[in-house]
Amino acid sequence: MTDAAPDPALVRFDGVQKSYDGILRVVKDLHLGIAEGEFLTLLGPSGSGKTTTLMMLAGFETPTAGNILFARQRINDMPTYRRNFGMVFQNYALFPHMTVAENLAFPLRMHRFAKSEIPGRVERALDMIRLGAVADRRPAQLSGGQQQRVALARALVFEPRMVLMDEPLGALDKQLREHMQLEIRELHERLGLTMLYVTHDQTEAMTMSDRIAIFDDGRIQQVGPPDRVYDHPENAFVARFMGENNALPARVEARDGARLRLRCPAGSQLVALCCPEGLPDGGDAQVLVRPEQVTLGEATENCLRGIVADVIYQGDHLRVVVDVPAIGRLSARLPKAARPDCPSPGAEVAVHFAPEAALAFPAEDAVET
Amino acid sequence: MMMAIRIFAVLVLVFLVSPIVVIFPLSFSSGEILTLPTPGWSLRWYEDFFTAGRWLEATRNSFVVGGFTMVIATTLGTLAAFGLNMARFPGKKTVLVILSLPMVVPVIVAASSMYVAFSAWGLTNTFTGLVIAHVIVAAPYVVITVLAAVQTLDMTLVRAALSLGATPVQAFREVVLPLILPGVIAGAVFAFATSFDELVIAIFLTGPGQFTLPRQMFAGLREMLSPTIAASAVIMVVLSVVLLLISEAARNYATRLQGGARQ
Amino acid sequence: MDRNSRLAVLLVAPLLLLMIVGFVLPLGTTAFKAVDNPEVTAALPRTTAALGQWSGDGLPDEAVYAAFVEDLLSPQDNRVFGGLVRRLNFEQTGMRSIISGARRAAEGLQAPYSESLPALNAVWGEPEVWQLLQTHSNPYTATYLLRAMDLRMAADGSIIPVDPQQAIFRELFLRTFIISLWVTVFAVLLGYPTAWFLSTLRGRAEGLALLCVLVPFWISILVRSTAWFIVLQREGPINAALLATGVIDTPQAIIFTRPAVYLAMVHVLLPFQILPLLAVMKRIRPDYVRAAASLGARPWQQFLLVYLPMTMPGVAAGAVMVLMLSVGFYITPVLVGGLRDQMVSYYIAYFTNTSINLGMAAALSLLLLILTGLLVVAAARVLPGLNLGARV
Repeated sequence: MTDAAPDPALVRFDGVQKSYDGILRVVKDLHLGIAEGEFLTLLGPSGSGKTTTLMMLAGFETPTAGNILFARQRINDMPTYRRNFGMVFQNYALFPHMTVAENLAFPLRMHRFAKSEIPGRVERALDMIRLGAVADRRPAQLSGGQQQRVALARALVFEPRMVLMDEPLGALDKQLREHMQLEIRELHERLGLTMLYVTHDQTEAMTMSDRIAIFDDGRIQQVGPPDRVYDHPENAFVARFMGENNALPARVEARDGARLRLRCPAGSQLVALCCPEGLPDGGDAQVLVRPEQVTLGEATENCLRGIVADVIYQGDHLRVVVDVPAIGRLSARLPKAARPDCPSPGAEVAVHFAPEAALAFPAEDAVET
Repeated sequence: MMMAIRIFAVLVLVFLVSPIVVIFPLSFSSGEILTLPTPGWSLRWYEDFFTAGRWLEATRNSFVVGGFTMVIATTLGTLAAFGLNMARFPGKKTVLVILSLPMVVPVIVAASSMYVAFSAWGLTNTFTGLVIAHVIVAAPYVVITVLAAVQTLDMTLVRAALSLGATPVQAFREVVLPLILPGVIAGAVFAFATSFDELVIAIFLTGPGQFTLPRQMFAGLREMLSPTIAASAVIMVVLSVVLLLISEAARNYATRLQGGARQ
Repeated sequence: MDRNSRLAVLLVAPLLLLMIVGFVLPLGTTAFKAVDNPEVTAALPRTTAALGQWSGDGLPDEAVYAAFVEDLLSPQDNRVFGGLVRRLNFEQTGMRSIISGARRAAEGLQAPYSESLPALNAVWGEPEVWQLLQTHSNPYTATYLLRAMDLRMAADGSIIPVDPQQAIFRELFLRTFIISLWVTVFAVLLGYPTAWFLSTLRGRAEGLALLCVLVPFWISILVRSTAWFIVLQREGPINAALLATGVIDTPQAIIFTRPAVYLAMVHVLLPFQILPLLAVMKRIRPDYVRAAASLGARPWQQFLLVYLPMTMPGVAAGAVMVLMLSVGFYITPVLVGGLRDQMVSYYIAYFTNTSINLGMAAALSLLLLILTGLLVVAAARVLPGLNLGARV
């Protein structure tokens, strides 16, 4: 690394820490860059530090240690109102005593846009969200989806240097949420704005983001594009958080390059890829396989036998739950076309999966899925 | 069974309003005696109220004392409510106990105690003394009302204002103030009503020179029951209803805004 | 303390200061006045100093007599002397003329005073009067508090009941408590069905019914009591109606009776019971009673086992409020009650304004305050988070 090379990132967290009581650190040693024009999502369970990170960037919290840089300038102590970041809040935080138009004009007035310019900008913003008809209504008179769009427009109308969103779709129902995800993604592509998005919903993160930073326990567990973090999780937490998994307990017996040979408690042999952090010979491991990688039928490698416990029709696919002795339940996701040959509950079946689709991680004492 | 309870409840509601309703026709009686049916109708007792010097002066005194009480109690109570909402500080519990004392101490004990102390300070028989006493009994209600408004205020609105470029002062002026204003108005109306209706403290702290309207009514009741008293009671009822409507309007406005912060 | 806390303290300070100086301090003064005993020492400084040496057996010596005459002769503020006379007369009826007589004659008295004073009035030759002076030269006294419980201290220091014709205060407190209790019972019995009825209404009917509760609530206690005064008086509408319908043929005394007090007090305090109850009842979703019904509860069981227990916080909050307010009620009983219907408040006002016995007023205030305090503490025990005083 050379000193001369300019930092390409628009925003940089440099060793940032945050503690409210001086003992417990909510954010631990955070290093993260956000590129200009990027859509970055902070994903993680509640209490993982993702919201605190957003709040520090917004200026509502001050880091206990480390620096936050914006365009290579330290902004740790810059007051919120000078940062010029648009923000969308979880409950929208529309001002209840102002009309929709007044809400949109608010940031323009605060940033001293020319008086003559404000009505035009407000109108264009209303057009953008297709809510011109409700300009004179109060937020309380709008539906949840309309409020959400007003909040979004309000965060964009004053041409901020970047936009922060704190679980902005959490209060909407599923259909509206999926619709808004696409709308926000489209807005991002059209405006080319830098966006930082916080959510705990992994599907939402996958749908919208250029990159996802997965938080747990105050640390970033992995950063990368959606396909990378889904297909190549760097640790068991990321693997489990990004979608569903079957976990098979096993012990490492031998290795063959990147592949490991493992043995299950019942004696069956498994072949899986080793996780980046590595596993010692004879170590307790868990082999994670996604249900869509599991298929019915015999195979030479990674073949397990059990009894079908249940077959569930889920509209776009079938789910077959198989009880494997001494290992537990295994879930397989099959295409609907497989339905005619699908065994019924109680039948004995064999299932298998490719070694490339299985990842071996160190065993955890108590794992929650 | 349910029907019987409903009828009973309606009778209780009638019981609640009837004595108040009855004084209306009595106040328009043309006779000297307060009885029904009235011998005829006239406005003579209202004429008496608005021409006899002592009733008018008492009304004026009530408005002056009520006005000062309202302004001072609302200012001090609003500041205190903000302070109480803002942070923990040592002794906060004790402060809350002290501020709620005037609401639980029997008014006669308060009046008698303030009389003894205020006379030592030369505050009896003065408007200053009466206003101070009324501020003391009215301010706790202002604190409660404003505190409720401040506590329901969604702090993310302030954050939103800051994120949209408002300075803390602008955020207060543009967002916090308009949202808690209904609470402050309700508190102010209540402070005015408390002072305007207050009698026991006035009995102890005022001389004839500072008689408020309730004090004048009380004196009138003990001298001679003239229908002018019924007229003054009607005037006070009308004023109370106006104050009630203002306070309800403020509350309704606040609830309507609350609807916006719902979601 | 951080910056926020300092600012918070600064914001609270003005009101807090006013409350402490204007309210807590006067209350403290009242508590102090209930045991304060300055009159004898202030009027007779030499006598009290001389009595300090006296054993209390037999008669004091000449020095005490001489000091007493000297105190009587010293140019004195008449108010201080008046205070002494009132104070001693309160302890023992007749002391007014004894002391005033001695003062008038003091100038012509010759030494030795231990002979000339008893010659003037035989009382001065008996130890009791000197014991009385000695007892009350103490800066603190329990007299007022004892008297407020119909007790007094005998000359030998034992606590004994006062003469039956002076014993009024125990009955007074008992009466205050009983009236308050009945008012509370009536308020609950009338308020509960009414609040339930209000909670079942919607729209216009609800607004109208609520107005029937809120309007009286906002009208001052004086105006409401005045209305009852007018309605109940001998020439008033009720008597007129009863006469006209022939139910009675001479006007009846309704006003200045106990029933009149109950009627007016229940009317004044009923909204304080209805409003908290209504607030609780409106929050109870009908699902609970429906669930009880679907589980086989009969209507009376639905009420007794489900609805009533869920509304108890409202009953208790309202009842505590009503009880607390009625214990300290003043205006309504004064206006519509007779002398035998007056409560503790009446006597506090009487001792403060009419008989100017601040010690007695303070003692009654202190006891009333303690009684109210006990009610509040008991209420807080039963109902954590009780919001006393909030009108709606």
